[in-house]
Amino acid sequence: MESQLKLLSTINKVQPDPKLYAAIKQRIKQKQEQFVPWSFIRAVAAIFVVMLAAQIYVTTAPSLSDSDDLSALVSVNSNTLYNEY
Amino acid sequence: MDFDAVYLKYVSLVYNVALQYVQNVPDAEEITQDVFIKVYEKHDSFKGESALKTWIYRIAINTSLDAIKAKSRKKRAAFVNRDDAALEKISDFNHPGAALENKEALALLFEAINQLPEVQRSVLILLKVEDLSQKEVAEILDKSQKAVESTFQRAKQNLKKILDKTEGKQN
Repeated sequence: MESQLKLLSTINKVQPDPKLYAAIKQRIKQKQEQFVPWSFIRAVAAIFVVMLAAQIYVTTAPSLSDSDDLSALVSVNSNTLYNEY
Repeated sequence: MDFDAVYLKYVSLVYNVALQYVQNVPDAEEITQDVFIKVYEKHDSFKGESALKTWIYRIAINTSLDAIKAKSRKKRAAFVNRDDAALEKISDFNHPGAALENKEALALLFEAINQLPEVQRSVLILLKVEDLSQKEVAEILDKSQKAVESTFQRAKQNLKKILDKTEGKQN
């Protein structure tokens, strides 16, 4: 077994073909051309969702004039109470 | 360190690691390409928790193991489809680092090594072919030195069993 394992250490280191660098650079270039800016798309989508939620809230929530009416009622009542004293 | 500098410094390491796993030039070149594409893409996310060399070793090992798995899937498909040309392409030992007089013996040895479980194969390759220390192997495989030692012992036992079985078949 040991002699067989020693055989493994006889394997020499090999230098790769210099053309490999050009091939890798070419693949990187292709990747850059196909690049989809997902982080930018996600950020835009998040802003859109927030704006949509805000829009829905504004259209469905009780209007400011309603709350004015309520405060008017409260003030009338309190006046009444005050007047009773 | 920019990409070109990383490439120049580690291309030989990556290529040779890939060769130890696949034992032929075309596959090793393909793996080397894949590794450096990953290095390019993930370079920013490298946190420096381990040495750059360790990180590149890990990518090279994982990419090589993935390539082997993909190849055995292709091999199975070629076998099922009885595609002899494809099968011939797949089962070639042509390690350029093997001396001519050792080629036959190494082909048999690697045939056995390739049957070992992934971790045992990696430990054997890193210790005996890459000639790394147990400490370096432990760091690359994210294991303790004790675990590397016991994995190496198991790898030797299993390799012996496989080689004995092969010899038995041949006689």
